[in-house]
Amino acid sequence: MGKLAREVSVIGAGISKFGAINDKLLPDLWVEAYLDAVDHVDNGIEAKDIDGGLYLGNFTADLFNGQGHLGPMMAGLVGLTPKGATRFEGACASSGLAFRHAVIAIASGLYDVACVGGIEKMTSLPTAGVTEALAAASDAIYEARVGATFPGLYANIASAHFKKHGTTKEDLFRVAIKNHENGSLNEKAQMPYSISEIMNKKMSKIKKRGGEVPDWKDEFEFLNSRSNPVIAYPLRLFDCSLITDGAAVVFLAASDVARKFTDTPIKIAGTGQGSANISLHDRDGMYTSFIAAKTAAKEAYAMADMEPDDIQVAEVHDCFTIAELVAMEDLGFAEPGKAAELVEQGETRITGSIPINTDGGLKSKGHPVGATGTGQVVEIFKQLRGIAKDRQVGGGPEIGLTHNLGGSGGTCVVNVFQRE
Amino acid sequence: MSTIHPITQHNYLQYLNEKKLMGSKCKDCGNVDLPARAICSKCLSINTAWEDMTNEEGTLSTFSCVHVGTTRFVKRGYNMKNPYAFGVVTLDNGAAITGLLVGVDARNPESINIGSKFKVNFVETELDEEGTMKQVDVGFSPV
Ligand SMILES: [Zn+2]
Repeated sequence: MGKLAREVSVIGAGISKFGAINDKLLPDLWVEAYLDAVDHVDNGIEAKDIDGGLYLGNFTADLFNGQGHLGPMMAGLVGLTPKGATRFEGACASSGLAFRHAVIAIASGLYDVACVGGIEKMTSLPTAGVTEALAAASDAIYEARVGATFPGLYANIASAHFKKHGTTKEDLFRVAIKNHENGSLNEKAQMPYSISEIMNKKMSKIKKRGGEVPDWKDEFEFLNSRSNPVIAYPLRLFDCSLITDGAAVVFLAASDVARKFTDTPIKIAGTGQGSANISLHDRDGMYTSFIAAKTAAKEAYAMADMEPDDIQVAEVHDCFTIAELVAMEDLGFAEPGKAAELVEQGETRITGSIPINTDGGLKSKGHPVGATGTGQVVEIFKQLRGIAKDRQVGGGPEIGLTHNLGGSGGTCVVNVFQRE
Repeated sequence: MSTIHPITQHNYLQYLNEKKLMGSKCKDCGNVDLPARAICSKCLSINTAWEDMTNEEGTLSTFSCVHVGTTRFVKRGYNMKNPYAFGVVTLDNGAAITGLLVGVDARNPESINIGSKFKVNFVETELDEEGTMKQVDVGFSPV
């Protein structure tokens, strides 16, 4: 297992508002995130500094917006043309891939500075169209044709996890409750409300309409009610991430030039990538764990010369609540089947021993699929720089991790970050 | 189709439309793959041959009951109140494949058990009003 030939650091990172952004098109979201990232480079950065051009992640603007050839289109809007501009696709891990390949390009010595972006605008299609477009990340013939949807595939993973480890729907509810609690502290989140806030709003709405107000005693009773309908058994509405428009941007520099831009670069201590057959049935009976994630994690930890215990804050790919538990187990934060216990004990909250998805995760912050991987890096950048405001992890964390999963586990990128 | 046809996904689907579930068997290591593969997934040998798995039985490895389905399933009348079930069945010969679960009560998922026995039961859909274009998909029903 190799090392990077030279060190690479994040020197700035920014993000657009996530949500159903009706008054912005895909290029507008991109420009918003780009300018936010420029604002976060301490000593400033200009397009002429970025010799490596653009590494852009996007799943399928082709299907969502009828637009391809995004690399030069976005590069041109911020003055990065005529430098190279390349789009990367790996379903929900698209911008995780873009990030990793920009790191590798700089480490190779080819470039000193690069721009990484992730963009997706999903809400221009009705939900049925979104479901259809996302299904293109599964196996179109062997999965989608027999009725597999994305919630359905992760529901298969949940069913297997329930059976094998005794995981319960309440274990999943706790993940959603924690992520919404974190997201309520994030002004960029799509749904910045705790589950109890959402529940209370729902109750007062029913009251206003003159209906019979349900007597939910707590979030669990709300989440167990018909107000949280089953989407794909055993997963319900609040187990699913959101349909989101959004963009995120990260600037990378070789560590020997990074200090020109900032006194506090965030070094990429390790990076790893893994793959798997994209159909669930084609994984040797492994339904409760992702080999792509385990492979990526092993590679990233080895490069960083670190163990799971060294990680102080993590962003994991919670496209569904069950995915957060599986990610924790694949990353070694918990033994197989034991992640739910850590969540129940509060260890993954902002105040816990291993805070996870401090920005609200895909569940509350939102999941513009192609932007998610870089969005995770933005949050770790903020946490390690100590600028995460109300959701800042205490004690000045120095080491963070991102875990970005594509499809139902066909692609995974894991990165370990360290404040210099 | 005769078995001299090369092992391709194209031909696998041709067989499927004739209600034959055709996997492949590696002549070098004995591994079975489903759908059929030209290159053995275990030892990467190209010494593989078609293996008819149409009459195999298997056990349910995992499943879901889908309330918000794909457009095609919504058009067939499935919805929040009328879900369908799909899952992975592992055949007794070791090969596994995703299929629709027919003859189960998808409204009552507790009645569907991982580990219970299923057998191949193809699902036929008419793709046009006249019924001249048909598509056959992998389905399973309880034994
Ligand atoms: Zn073989």
